[in-house]
Amino acid sequence: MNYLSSNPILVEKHVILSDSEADVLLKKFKITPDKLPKIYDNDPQILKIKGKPGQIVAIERDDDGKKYTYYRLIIKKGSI
Amino acid sequence: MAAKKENEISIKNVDVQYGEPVGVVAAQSMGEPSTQMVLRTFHSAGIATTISSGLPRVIELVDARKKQASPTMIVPLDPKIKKNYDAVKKLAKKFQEVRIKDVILKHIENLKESKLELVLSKSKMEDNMLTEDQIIEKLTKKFSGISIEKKSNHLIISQKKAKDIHSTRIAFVHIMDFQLSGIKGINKAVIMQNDDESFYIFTSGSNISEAMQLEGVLSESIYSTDPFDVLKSYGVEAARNAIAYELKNTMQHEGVKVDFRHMGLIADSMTLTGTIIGVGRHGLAGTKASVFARAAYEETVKHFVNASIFGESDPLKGVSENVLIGKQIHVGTGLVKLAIKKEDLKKIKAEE
Repeated sequence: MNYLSSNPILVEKHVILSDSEADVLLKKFKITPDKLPKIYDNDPQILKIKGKPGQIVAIERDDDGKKYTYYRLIIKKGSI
Repeated sequence: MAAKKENEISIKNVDVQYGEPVGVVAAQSMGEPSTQMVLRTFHSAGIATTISSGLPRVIELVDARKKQASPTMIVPLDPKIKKNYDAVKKLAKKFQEVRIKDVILKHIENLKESKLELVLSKSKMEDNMLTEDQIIEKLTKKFSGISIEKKSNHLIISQKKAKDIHSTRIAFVHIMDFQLSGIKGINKAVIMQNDDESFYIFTSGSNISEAMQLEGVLSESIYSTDPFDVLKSYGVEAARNAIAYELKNTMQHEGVKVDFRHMGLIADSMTLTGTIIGVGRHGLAGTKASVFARAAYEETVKHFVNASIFGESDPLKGVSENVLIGKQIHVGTGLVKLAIKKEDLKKIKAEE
């Protein structure tokens, strides 16, 4: 077992989307922001990039070699 | 017209067709192989025996139990020390939890005089890099109401103020259980070797947040099998990966092959709200919008009574509520609705 060469739970970079980027994204999927998966504002990764509630983060995922982008909406902890 | 063409292309180029019940497919893809897993259980030798596997492990992950049966950690080390066995050994010692009861040969409780006599073991203390003075210092720092006397390798602990037998006994139990060094929750740290002759540390018990603080540890890439520990230290996205890969590893270990996308979908829906929730009635199934869907699953009466008290309405958009009332489900071809202009309908009727 050699986990160290590729630790699968290593988190990819979280990037905050600008307002215009977020608009394009929401138009593409035809949804409102509250339909997106959530992430808390006190999440270690969000604290690192200083995200604020209401912003959308893009996460570059790598599932078993398949690459895609996942989006999460930052919310205040305890608001849902 | 342009928008229509664009939509047509985006519908045709998808990997999964619109309306495909991916959740049901994922559930069945995980469920069918797990019925085979029960019948043949492997027995492996060594430290791996303590790791729970098979169906109990899958249930544990999917239910999102806070207290796991046997969490483990794989700690990668700094390139500077990872080929130096002595340095790694020293570091591994810092992981393992050492309590008073681990460094003594025997103890004598004298409740009548409220005295506790500890016989320290030199070799055990050396093993864990502790000295008598350090132990005494740590004990006096933690417990204010005791005085410690040292006689060769004997430590005699007595209460400053006389107390009744019951509280004295409780105090002694706390002293015996006092943590001298190491990380809380880790009861074993083993040094393992990679193919390229570098070392890493394998622990039974998981506590990422404290392991990150140690020098010589690659703090950003510790692997843990406890999703809640990962959630606390690395965030929800890492916890999602931890659940998905743990499910994958468990299934792989049993010799059944399940596509990763199914496990990924389960992990995605478990971490949808920003934290980990289980799949059962206290988790995902309990958060469904429809009253009928919740009532069809578990605790039927409770849900109907609550719904009537709060005047809930049901939009009948899910699968189980439509099955329940005998309507077509909104999945696959059932998703498509027929639309017709009123004038056209009149024309058709006139023709008839």
